[in-house]
Amino acid sequence: MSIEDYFAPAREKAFRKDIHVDGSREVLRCPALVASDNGAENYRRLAEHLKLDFSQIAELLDHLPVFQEGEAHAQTRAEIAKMIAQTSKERGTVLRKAVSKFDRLGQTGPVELMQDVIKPSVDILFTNLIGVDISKLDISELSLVLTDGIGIRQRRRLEKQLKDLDDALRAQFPDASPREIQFKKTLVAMGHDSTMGSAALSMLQMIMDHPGKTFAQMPFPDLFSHTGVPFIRRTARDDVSFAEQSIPKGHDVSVMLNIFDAPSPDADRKLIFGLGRHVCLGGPVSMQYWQAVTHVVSGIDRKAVITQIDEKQDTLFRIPDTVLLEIS
Amino acid sequence: MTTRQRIIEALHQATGALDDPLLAPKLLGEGDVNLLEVNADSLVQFEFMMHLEEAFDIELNEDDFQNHAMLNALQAHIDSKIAA
Ligand code: HEM
Repeated sequence: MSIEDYFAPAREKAFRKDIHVDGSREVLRCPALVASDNGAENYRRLAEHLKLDFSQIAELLDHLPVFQEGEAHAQTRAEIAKMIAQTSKERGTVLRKAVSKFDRLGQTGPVELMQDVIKPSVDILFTNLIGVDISKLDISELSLVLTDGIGIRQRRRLEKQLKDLDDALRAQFPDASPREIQFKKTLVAMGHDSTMGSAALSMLQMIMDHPGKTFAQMPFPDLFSHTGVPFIRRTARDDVSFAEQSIPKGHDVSVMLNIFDAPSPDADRKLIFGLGRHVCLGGPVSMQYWQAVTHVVSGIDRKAVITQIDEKQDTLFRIPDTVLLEIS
Repeated sequence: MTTRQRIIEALHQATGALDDPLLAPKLLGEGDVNLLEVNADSLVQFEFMMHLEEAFDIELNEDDFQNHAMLNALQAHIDSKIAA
């Protein structure tokens, strides 16, 4: 059994019109593949045409580092890195509180892993990172800001979720600069579901690989074995080719990162966080989180049987919606 | 109103398709048309999508349009979404 049996193939999730390229160091480092257009102007034109408000989405898109290059990108990264570092003193306490949600796996009976364990746990981590209680807000579709393939209803919900988060941040931090507010939203959009998805998939694969074993008997790796971020996007600034694939200048490319999932060699696994100037700014935090999770779970002398897995639909990331476990 | 009629109404709201002397007979008859050609402009395509989502109380995305470019295919797809 493999998690691949339960989730749509990563290539089907990737942007259909793009050229799909397997991730490698060469591809990730390639100077001809640059950040793709952020789509903010499209949202502004659409808002005007449909007489709808997409200002929150457009504003956030203008601040997301994945869509930036050069000086502006370097500046954004520096500010986000500082924001994450400012919370590092409390990280130990916060992580302990966050992973205590996994104690639930020590009680016999049915448990729903996503909403009852992983989401509340990751919410605690992000509440600390951004300074507002994320568990009180609906942020379920925030990561959709990264795609332009969604319909109008989803766009309206995304706008609403961003507005509610914006209101909560402004109420909590009345003196914060507009950039700070946008970067806090960036952390949630880029990090929350990617951490939830990676933790869930890595946990599930471990259970599948060790039927009949207790959590305490499972050899949890230090790094996520599977990624919730199956691909990233770039645009070719020049004609470029990799192995058999030629990418014409101007074409969009989906770079597949699920290729680094186990059983790829450990040395490659960290490439699930990307490489080079856009490498994940939350990588160390999410790894600390995963290690804290596995520390707790490794102490649980219970067995788990997976009775149901439903994939979350209409998302960019690979993330289960529901996972039912029977603990004995 | 049938699914087809409601789709055509949404299309007309977004594009004025029924005012097009070449297109209207096809739409009002049994003919099949390529909706991506009718909605060449992406803003208009989004407007069509918005009207469809409202008319049928469903959610659509770009893939739904790319994978069901022909009117008949979109009609079958919407019928299956409503039934689901
Ligand atoms: C296991 C969890 C995570 C995975 C698999 C992951 C994966 C990635 C990947 C692949 C990229 C590169 C994007 C690109 O090159 O286009 C990235 C960028 C980024 N990630 Fe993560 N991420 C995770 C967790 C987090 C967390 C927890 C945060 C925030 C606290 C975060 C914040 C960011 C930011 C801000 C960027 C943009 C960097 C840039 O474009 O310069 N990520 N992430």
